[in-house]
Amino acid sequence: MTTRRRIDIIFAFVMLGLATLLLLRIPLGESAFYSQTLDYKRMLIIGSIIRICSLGAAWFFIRRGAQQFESGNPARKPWRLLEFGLLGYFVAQLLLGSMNTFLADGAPFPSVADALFILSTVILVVAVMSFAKVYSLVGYVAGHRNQAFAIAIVMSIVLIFINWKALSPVVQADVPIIETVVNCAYPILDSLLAIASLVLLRITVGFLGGYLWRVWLALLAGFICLAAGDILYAYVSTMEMTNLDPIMDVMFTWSYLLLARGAIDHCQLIASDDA
Amino acid sequence: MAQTYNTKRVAETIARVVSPFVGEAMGQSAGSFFLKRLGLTADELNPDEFEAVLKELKKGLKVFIGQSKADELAEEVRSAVSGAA
Repeated sequence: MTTRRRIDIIFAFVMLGLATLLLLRIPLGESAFYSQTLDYKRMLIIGSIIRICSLGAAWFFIRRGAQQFESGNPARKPWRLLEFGLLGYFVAQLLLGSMNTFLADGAPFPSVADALFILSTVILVVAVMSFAKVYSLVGYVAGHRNQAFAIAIVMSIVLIFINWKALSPVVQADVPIIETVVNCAYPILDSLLAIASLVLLRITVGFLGGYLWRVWLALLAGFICLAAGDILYAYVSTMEMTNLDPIMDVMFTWSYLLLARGAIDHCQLIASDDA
Repeated sequence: MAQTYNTKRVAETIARVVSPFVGEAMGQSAGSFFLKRLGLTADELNPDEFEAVLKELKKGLKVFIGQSKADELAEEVRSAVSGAA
C-alpha cells in the first residue's frame, strides 16, 4: 500500500468518525454521553483543536508547495494568495478556539477572529479566481470556457436566491449594525468562493485521473464545504434552529480536513520524484 | 547523418510521461498540442525541433507543477525518446 493510499484511508476514517460523532448529537443530545462525557464545552474544545491542526497543516503544506513555483511563474501569485488566505484562517481559528476555551462566556460576536475570517475569505476568493484565469490561459486546458462561464451564471442566480431568502430576516433583525454586516458578509463572501470554486472545478476536471485532479478535488471540495457551512449557518441561526448546529460543525471540520489533504497531496506531487 | 526523432513516438512519450500528472485525456492532447502549435507535421523531427517541443512542454507544465518538476518530466521524455532513437 502506498503512502498516499494510507493517508487517504486515515483522512476518510477521521472524516467519517467525526461526522458520526457530531451528527449523533442531533438525536442523542440529551443522552448521558452527550450531556456529561462529551458535553458541549468539551466538544467545542476538541473541535477547535482539530480545526486548528487541519488549518495549520493546510497552510504549512500549501506554503511548501508554493515555494516550488519560481518567480515569474503565472501560478506563483495564486498559490501565495492561497497560502496567505489559509494563514489568516489558521490564526482566526486559533483566536476563536482560545476565546471559546478560556473566556467564561465564550467568544464575543463579532470579534477580531471574525474580521480575520472575512479578510482571509476575500483573499481566498481572489486566489481561486486567479487560478481559474491562469489555468484557462494555458492552451491545452482552455477548452471549456463557455461551460465555466455558464456555471458561474447559473450558480450566481441560485446563490443570490438562497442568500436573499436567508439574509432577509438577518437584515431586518434588531441587532447592532456591525452584527448585521458580519452576519451578511460570511454567506455573501462564501457564495463568491463557491462560485469561483465550481468554475475552477470545471476547468480542472480536465485532469481527471491525474495527480492534479486529486489535489484540486480535495481543495475545491474543502472550499465548497466551507461555503455550504457558512450559508447554512446564516439560515439556521436566523431561523433559530440551533439543534442543527452539528451539521455546520461537520461542514467546517470536513472543509479544513479536505484543505489539509489537498495541500499535502500538492506538496507530495511537486516535491517528490515519484509523486 | 544527424539524429532524427519519430514524431509519433515523441507525442506518445509525452502522453505517457505527463498522463499520471494531468490525467489520460489531457496527457494525450498535450502530446499532439505542442507539435501542432509549433507547426511540426513531418514524420521525423530534427534535434532543434525536438528541443523546441521539450521547451514548449516545460512552458505548458510549469504552470501546474512548477519549473523543477516540469524540467524533470521533460528530461524523462528526452531520455525515453533518445534511448529509443
